Amino acid sequence: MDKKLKLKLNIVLVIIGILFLSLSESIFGSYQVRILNLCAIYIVLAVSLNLINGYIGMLSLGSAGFMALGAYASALLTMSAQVKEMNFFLTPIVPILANVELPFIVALLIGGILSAFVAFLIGFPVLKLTDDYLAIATLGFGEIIRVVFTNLQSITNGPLGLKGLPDYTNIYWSWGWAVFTVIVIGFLIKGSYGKSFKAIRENEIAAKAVGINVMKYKLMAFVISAFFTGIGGGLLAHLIGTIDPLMFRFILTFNIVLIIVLGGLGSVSGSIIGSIIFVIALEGLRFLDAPMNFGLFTIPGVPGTRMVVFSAILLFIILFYRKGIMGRQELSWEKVCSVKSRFKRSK
Amino acid sequence: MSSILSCRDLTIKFGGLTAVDTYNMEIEQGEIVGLIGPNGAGKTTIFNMITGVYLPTNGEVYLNGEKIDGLKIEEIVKKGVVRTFQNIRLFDDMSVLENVFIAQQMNISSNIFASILRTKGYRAEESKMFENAMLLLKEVGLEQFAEYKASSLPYGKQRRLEIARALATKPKVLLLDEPAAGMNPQESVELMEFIHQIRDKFGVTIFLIEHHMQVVMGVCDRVYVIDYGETIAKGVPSEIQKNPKVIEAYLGVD
Repeated sequence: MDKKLKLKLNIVLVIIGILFLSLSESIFGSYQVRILNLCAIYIVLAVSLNLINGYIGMLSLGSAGFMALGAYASALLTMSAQVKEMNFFLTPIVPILANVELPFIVALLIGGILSAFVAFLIGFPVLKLTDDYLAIATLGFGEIIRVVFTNLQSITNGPLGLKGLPDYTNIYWSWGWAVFTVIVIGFLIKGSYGKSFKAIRENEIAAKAVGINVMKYKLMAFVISAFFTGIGGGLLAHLIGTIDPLMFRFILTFNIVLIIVLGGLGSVSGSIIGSIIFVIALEGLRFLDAPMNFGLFTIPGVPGTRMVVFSAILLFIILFYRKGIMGRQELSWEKVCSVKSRFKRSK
Repeated sequence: MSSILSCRDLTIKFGGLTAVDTYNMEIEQGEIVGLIGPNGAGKTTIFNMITGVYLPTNGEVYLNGEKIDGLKIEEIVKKGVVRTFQNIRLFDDMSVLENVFIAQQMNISSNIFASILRTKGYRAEESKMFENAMLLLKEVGLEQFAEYKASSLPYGKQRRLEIARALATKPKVLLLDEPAAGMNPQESVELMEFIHQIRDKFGVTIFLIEHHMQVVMGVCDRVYVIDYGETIAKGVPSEIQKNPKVIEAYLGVD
């Protein structure tokens, strides 16, 4: 396919995307808009975790911890003084934070940077580990963050959580960050640094033997991933409007791992597709929890049915697509066309 | 003339076991030197000490008179000592071209942000790296496979690629760990020619471990023989072949 046609198709796609998103708030109800926002946030989280798990080949399970850092940092920096006073009725907030109120973008960035900084600190000892051991260490990190936040009453309000966050996250913020994350990580992967990440995944010993400073590269990827995960946490906090330590349990990380495995480890477009399928399927299957009338018999609503069905669907997808939907490949116009022509032929 | 790579009293102990005992070696610029010995004699251990995988218990390694033992693996590569592996280690899921491309990454001057922003400087550097990689593939006769997946190459070509990748780091000394392992006679002959070729074209000094006596005798200027971690003989191949100690180590004695 020639370049001009591809460029045209890309431009058309971008315009459709922008139109769709900018009109979505007026066409759809707030529920649908919320789902769109969640899609975007999960894209940020999944693409950044995929950088670690898919491209550099380390099994990191610390997403929830980094999200908590980003979420709390940005929440504390955007809440007004009165709201903070209302929240911290048991233990007063530390005076430095009591009166800070920053614009959303600054607060988000600070959240991301804090998360990246913590990743940098724990990266030195933790990234010496490999495989399962790294998974356990990062999992432990996530839990430590949660427990610390539960007990840091004067900063995080402990188990009570923070309520009444300004609802800054809208379609533009969430999709803006999603696009930005995809572009940054996409270009990173395309360049020589990204190729070196893949080389480490393919054979760490050989990567060292050609002079790649494996530890430094792992740390770079870990920090970049943590930055975007922190941003994702901040976006999520300002979408939901209330956060507490229990929100950042392991299950949150598990969801993101699930998305990247579903989409394909080592594929950015796979992570995007995975995020959208995950969020929409999880919401779309909600009817299963309600009582259902089949005429002859009625199934009483069992809460959790949708999770069972959802898991079954995932099982089937993984059975038929061992390497996830995209494997390690990226979506391209050629591929879309080849799928289309295959359908035509089968007719 | 001072030697390019030398080991002085190189010793390593794993617990009570002395794997390599006071190994001494001098290699001159442009030589092809072999290291032979029965299985478990400590050959690969010597390689691992030279390349920084193991820290020697005792003794030193010098490159052009500069002490390199104790440095990290990647620092030693930067100094100009690079190796291949007994069991080929390629970046399997990447293309042949990318395999060689990556080997130049350590010398890149653009930082990670320049690579994300694809600045002019970075793009120039990247295309230079691709050009060099392609040139190198041409030199070793793999240019028609540039876009192939590394793992899809036949065995002999994978060896060649591994050596090409090592050459991409612009080494002074190239260490080859059993380059002819698992090769058929035809491939072994090609390999011998190839080793001579790269020595002449790239001006590298080569130090190799080998079991195929035919290959050792065919390419090496000098040979060191070790057994149970100790040097039992050294000299030109024709002498080594007749050395009773070597025959004893290899064939046993009544």
